[in-house]
Amino acid sequence: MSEQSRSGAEKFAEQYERIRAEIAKEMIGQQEVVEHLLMAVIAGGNVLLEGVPGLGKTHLVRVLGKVLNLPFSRIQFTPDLMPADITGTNILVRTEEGNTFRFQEGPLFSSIVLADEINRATPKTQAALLEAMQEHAVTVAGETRKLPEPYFVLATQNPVEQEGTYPLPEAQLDRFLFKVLVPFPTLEELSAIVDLTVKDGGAEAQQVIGAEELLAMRAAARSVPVASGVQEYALRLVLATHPENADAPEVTKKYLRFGASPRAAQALLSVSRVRALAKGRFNVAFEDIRAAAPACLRHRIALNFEAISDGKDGETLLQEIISSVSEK
Amino acid sequence: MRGGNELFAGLRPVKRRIRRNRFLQGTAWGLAAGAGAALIVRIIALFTPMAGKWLWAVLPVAGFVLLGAAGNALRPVKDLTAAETADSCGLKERTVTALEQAGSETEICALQREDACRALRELDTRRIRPESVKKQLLTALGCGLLAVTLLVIPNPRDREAEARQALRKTLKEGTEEIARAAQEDEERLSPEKRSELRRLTEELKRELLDSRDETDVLVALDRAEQRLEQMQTRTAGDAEAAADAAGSEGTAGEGARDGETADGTGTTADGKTAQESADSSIKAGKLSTQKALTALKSAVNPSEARKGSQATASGTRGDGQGEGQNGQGTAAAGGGSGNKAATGAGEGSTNLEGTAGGEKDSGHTKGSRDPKYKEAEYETIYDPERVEASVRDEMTNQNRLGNEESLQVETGPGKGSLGGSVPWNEVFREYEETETRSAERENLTTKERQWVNDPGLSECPGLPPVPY
Repeated sequence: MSEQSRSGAEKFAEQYERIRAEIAKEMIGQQEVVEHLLMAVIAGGNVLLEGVPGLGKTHLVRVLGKVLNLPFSRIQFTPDLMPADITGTNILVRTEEGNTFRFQEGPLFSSIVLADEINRATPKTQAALLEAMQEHAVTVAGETRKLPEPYFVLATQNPVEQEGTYPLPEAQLDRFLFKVLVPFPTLEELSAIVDLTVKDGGAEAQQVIGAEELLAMRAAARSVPVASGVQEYALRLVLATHPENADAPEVTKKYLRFGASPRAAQALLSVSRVRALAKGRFNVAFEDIRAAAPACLRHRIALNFEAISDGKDGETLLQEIISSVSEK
Repeated sequence: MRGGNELFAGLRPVKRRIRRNRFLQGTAWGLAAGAGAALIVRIIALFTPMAGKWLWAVLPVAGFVLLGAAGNALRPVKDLTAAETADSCGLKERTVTALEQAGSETEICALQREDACRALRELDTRRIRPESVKKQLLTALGCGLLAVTLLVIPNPRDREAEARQALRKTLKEGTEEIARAAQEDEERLSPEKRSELRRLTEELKRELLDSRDETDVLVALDRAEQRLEQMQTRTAGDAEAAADAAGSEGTAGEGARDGETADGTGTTADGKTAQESADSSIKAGKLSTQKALTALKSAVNPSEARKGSQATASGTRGDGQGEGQNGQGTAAAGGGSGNKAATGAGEGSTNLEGTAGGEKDSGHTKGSRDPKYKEAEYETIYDPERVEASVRDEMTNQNRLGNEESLQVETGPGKGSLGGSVPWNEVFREYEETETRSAERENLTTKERQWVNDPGLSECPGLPPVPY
C-alpha cells in the first residue's frame, strides 16, 4: 500500500475534523448543516438549502470557500435572470486586429456557487444551472466549456413567500445530493451570533486544505468498502418510498405519490462512505445509512392529496418509513 | 494472507461464545420439550397402565435436554454468523465487511481488515448474550409441576401396572420352575410321553407370555393342568395295561425268564420296573410339573390356589354324594370368595387328590372332605368349563356357612348331562349365585340382599316368593 493513499484514508478523519472546526469559528450553531455541506462537497454532490432569510447561508458558503481555498461566487436568482447571465456569454471585444467575440464567463465558473433563491428564477434559467450541476460544464453558442473541479453548487430556497416563484421540478430536485433544512438558531446561538457581529476581532476561519487535497479525500471516500447487507439495506430504504412496491410500508402506500429515484441510492451510499471515514471507520455501517437517509430522500418523494388533506408532514412520514425498514 | 488468518483467529472466541449460548438455549428448549413430553406420558398413564412411572417421567426430560443441548451446541457456527454476532456488539459492521473483503488486497481493504481485527481483539465476548429463554423455562416449569402432581397423586392405573409387572415377574419365575420340573419329569417318562409333556410345557409358556392379566394366566394354567391330568390318566391306563400284560407274560414265561440271560431278564425286568415305577409315580401324583403348576397358580392368585388345594384335600364322594345335593338346594348361595372359583375355570374341581381328572368309567374317586363341613344342603353349580363331551358331568358344590369361606366339594355323577337341557333346579343355584354377586355390587339393602340370597327365609314385602 502506497504511503500517500494510506495517509489519505488514515488522515481523512483528522482533516475532516479540522475543516469542521475551522468553519465553526465563523459559523455559530448549524452543526448538522455544516456536516451535510462538508459531506456533500467531499462526495461531489450539490446541496439544496431551505431556510428563512438571514440564517447565514451565504456566509456559510463563503467560509467554506475560505477554508477549502476554493473560489466562490454568489448568484441572486430573480425572475428576470436569463441563462446567459449565469453561464456567461460571448461579447464583442475590440482588439487591435479588429472586433472579435470573446466568451465572458458567468458566475457559474467558480468552484463553489451559491444560487440564492433558486426558485425565483425562470425554468429556463434553472435548466441552465441543471447542466452545470450535472455535467460540470456549460454549453454556450454550441461550445461546451468545462467548469473547474472540484465544483459544488449550493442552492437556497425560501420556504415562505412562494408567490411568483417557480418551484423546482422533480428532475432538477433529483440532481441535488441533499436537501438540508436550516433551522432557526436557538437562544444561545442567537446570543452568540449577536455578540460575534458587534465585537471586533472575532476569530476568522483559515484555509485547511486545497483543491487537490479535497479531491484526494473524495477518492479515498469512494474506495471505502460496503458490506452487501449494508448496501441491501440502503436499497431497501429507497424501495420503501415507492407506493407501488408490494413490500413498502402502509404509510408509503397511503400517503406518497411517488418515491426516490436510483440517484437516491447512489447518494445514500456515497455520503455514507464519507461519513464512515469521517467517523474513523474504514467501512460503511447501518448507522451511516440511517443518518444520511433523511437528507437524501426528503426532496425525492412527493406527498399525495390524502397526505396533504390529512395534514401529514413529510418529515414525519419519512421518519416512519425509515423506522419501518429493518436492517436484516 | 496474514490479515485474513488473523481475522478468522479473532472470530474463534466469538464462535466459542456462540456455542455456549446455543448449549444454554438448547438445554432450555430440551427442558421445555422434555417436561411437555413427560406431562403427555403422565396423561396417557391415567388411561393406560404404564410400568416404571418415575423412569417414564425422567427419561423424556433427560433425552430432550441431551438432544437439545448437544444438538444445538454441536451445530457448526458459520463465519458470517460469528461476524454478525460480533458486529451486533457495537463493532458497526467491521467484521462482516472484513469477512466479505477477505480476498481483496486493496489498500483500503487492508486498512479495514486491520481495523476489524483490532476491534475483535478488544471485544469482550461476554457481551454476546444468548436469546431470552424465559418462555421455555416457564413452559418447562409449568409442565414439570403438572407432571410431578400427576406422578404424586394416586393413580389406579399405576397400581394396575405394578400388578402386571409383578405378574410378569411371577410368570417368568414360574415358567422357569415349570421348565425345570418338566425336565425332571421327562427323565421318568417314555419318549412319547416326554414329547407330549414338552409340547404341553411349550404351549403353556406361549400362553403365559401372551396372557394379559391374572385371569388369562389362570385359564392357561388350568388348561395345562387338565391336559397334564389327562396325560397322567392315559399314562396310568397304559401302565396298568402294560402291568397286566407283563403279569400274564410273567406267569407263562417265568421259567423262561429265570433261564434268560441277564440282558433279557434285565430288559424285561428293567422295562417292567421302569414302567412300574413310572406308573407308581404318576399314580401317586408326584409329577413335579404339576406341583410347579400349582405353585405358580398359588403365586398368581393365592386365594384361588387355596380353594383348589382345599378341594383336592376334601376329596370327592362317591355316587352317594348326590344325596343332600342337587335338588335340595336350600343352602345359602355361594357368595363370597368361593364364587369366583365356582364360575371360573373350575379350579379345584378336580377333587381327585392329584389323580387324573375326569372319571370316565371308573367312577368317582372318593376324596376326603374337611370334617368341619357337614353334609347339609348343598347348592349345585353347573360348571360348563369343566365338562367335555366324553366326560361325565362334573359338578361342583359349594357349601357356605355364614360368612366363612366357601369350599368346593365334588358331587357324584349323574347330575345332568350336556346332551340335553339341564333341569332348572340344577342351574338355579348358579343363577342365584350370580344374582347374589350382582346384588352385592349394586347397592341393595340388607333385606333385599337376604331375599336374593334366600328368598324363602327373608321377608321383603313386595317381592314374590321363589317357586321351588
